[in-house]
Amino acid sequence: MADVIGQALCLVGVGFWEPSADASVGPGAALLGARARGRASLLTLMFAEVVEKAARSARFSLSEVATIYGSAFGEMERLIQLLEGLGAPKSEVSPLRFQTSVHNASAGQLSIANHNPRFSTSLAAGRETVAMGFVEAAAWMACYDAELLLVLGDEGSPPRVHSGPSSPPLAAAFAFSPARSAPPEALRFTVERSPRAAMGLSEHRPLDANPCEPLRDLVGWLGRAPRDAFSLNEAGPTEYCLVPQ
Amino acid sequence: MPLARSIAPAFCTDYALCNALGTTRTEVLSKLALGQSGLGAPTRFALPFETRVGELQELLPPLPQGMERWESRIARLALMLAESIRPGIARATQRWGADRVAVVLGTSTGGLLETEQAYRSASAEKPLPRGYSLLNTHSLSATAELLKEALGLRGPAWMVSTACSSSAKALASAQRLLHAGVVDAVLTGGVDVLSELTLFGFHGLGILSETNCRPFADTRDGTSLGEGGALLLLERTGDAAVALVGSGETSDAFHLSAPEPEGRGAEQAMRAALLQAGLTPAAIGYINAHGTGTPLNDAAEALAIARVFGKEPWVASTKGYTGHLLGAAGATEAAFCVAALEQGSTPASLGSMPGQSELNIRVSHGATPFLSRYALSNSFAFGGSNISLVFERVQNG
Repeated sequence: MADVIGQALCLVGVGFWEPSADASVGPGAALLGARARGRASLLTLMFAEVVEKAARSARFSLSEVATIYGSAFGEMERLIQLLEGLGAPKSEVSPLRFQTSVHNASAGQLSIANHNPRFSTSLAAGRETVAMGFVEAAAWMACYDAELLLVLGDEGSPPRVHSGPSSPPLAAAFAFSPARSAPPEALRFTVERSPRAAMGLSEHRPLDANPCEPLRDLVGWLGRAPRDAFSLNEAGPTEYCLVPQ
Repeated sequence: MPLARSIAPAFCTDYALCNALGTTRTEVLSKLALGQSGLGAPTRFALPFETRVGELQELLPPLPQGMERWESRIARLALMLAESIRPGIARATQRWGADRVAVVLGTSTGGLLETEQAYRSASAEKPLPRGYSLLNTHSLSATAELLKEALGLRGPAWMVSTACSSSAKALASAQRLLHAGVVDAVLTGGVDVLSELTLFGFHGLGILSETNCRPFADTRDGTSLGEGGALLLLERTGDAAVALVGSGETSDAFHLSAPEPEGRGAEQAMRAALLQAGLTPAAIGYINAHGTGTPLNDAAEALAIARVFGKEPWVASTKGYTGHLLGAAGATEAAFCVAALEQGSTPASLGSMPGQSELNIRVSHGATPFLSRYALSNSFAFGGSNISLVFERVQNG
């Protein structure tokens, strides 16, 4: 028996970024000024790119929209840079790098760039980051029913602290409109959970892919005007799905 | 205006505390009532600068057999806290069902301590230390996954990580899950442990005091870091003395690590929390301030408090007892608010003496009785993240 979480979400915009065949081309991240862009991590650049795309297609004002960010590992690139500095003879830690190493650094930088004083949060849920991002979004919409951006992504496997295969970065943003003001063409779906009949893959297997990997298939699914459900997590005793309404 | 629709109360049916004051709730609260600080010289880190820290004083028990893959200092701390309220969690699980109990915690550092050690020891030729795993050791969410498995819970689980507001925002997130009917109980709170990078990072920002931090004193010159955590069991209904009745969350949109000097974002967070709780400022009897002890933070927060409340409510920072617990600060201070409402008494704001503050707020210099049924707790963070929580003394939910 599936359990519906919160209320139906009305999707009015999507942004997606992953490296192109030319891996030297990074996210444009036009939201950030040139100076901020030059100092930003890959995660922040990806988030700026997908936020801009989703907000533009949803016609949201970036100075007024609430945001939920999700990333399993957050600012790993920045953390590795800091760990290198910590090992140096004088053990110096760059204040700029330190303040941009926190999990909500992207949220902070984008709120500054967009002059946005609204609600913002950042979460992490390992392999279930995408699923839990949608659960938090559905609960938030049930409480506030206001414009919301859900922004998810990970940089990929960091070197030196990860012994498994490397995985490419990717990120996506989803713009949700209040039900009362959503246009007819908005894609409406519920977030649902149910006990998983077969356990699927082991939850305890090694990390072999970007934890936000489901985003690629999810964005493809959304683009097909779906009628079938989309599973947000491939393992674990509970399955979280998006179900079109 | 920030969003502030009314929200159902979340009843706090049990809670646990562990920090430099002690490893049990009773020990922590008795030292808080006595005005004893847990700050001291660092013993676990050789630092080339002077500072004071709130270190845990006792060894944390290792994780039990079958849970070793999550082994880390923060995981030990989280499980020890959970064990101390296991009967309450078991009761809630039996009452609501394991699928209807979520785990939403806050942390800033996760397994950073072990990652520092792993990074130092690993090289191109030498593998990562045995047992270290990016997913189970370093990952911010590892602790939530550990508690979910150790306690047999099957509801949603995640970690909120918004630096020093993390665990206060975890409580707000938990209340949303309850209000939306996603679950009926949430094990929420936060944990953080000291690491070298954290200490060097705050030192690099020039915001560590060389002595015990002195929030709201005119002589304040920086904060003191600490480690610890708090877990709160929030339920839709239940036998509780205190409930979370409102939250307000805003962003400064000003600077990544410095507060907006006038405290406008903080003010909006407090006003939104009051609005959501359906209260006027006059209802609040006690404010547990974020009160880090840095000149800028305390000045901005005091301005914001004065604009919203005037000089009526008692204001105390508890960072002079525990140090700044970073991602665990919000939950710890929420638990201190719960205790203050249970006891009808504020703690003293350690480090600030009568007549020593030019800030226009009413700082509590000793354990002070208050009659109001409501208390408010502030948490602010890097990234300009602000949250205020409102608690109410209730008769069983």
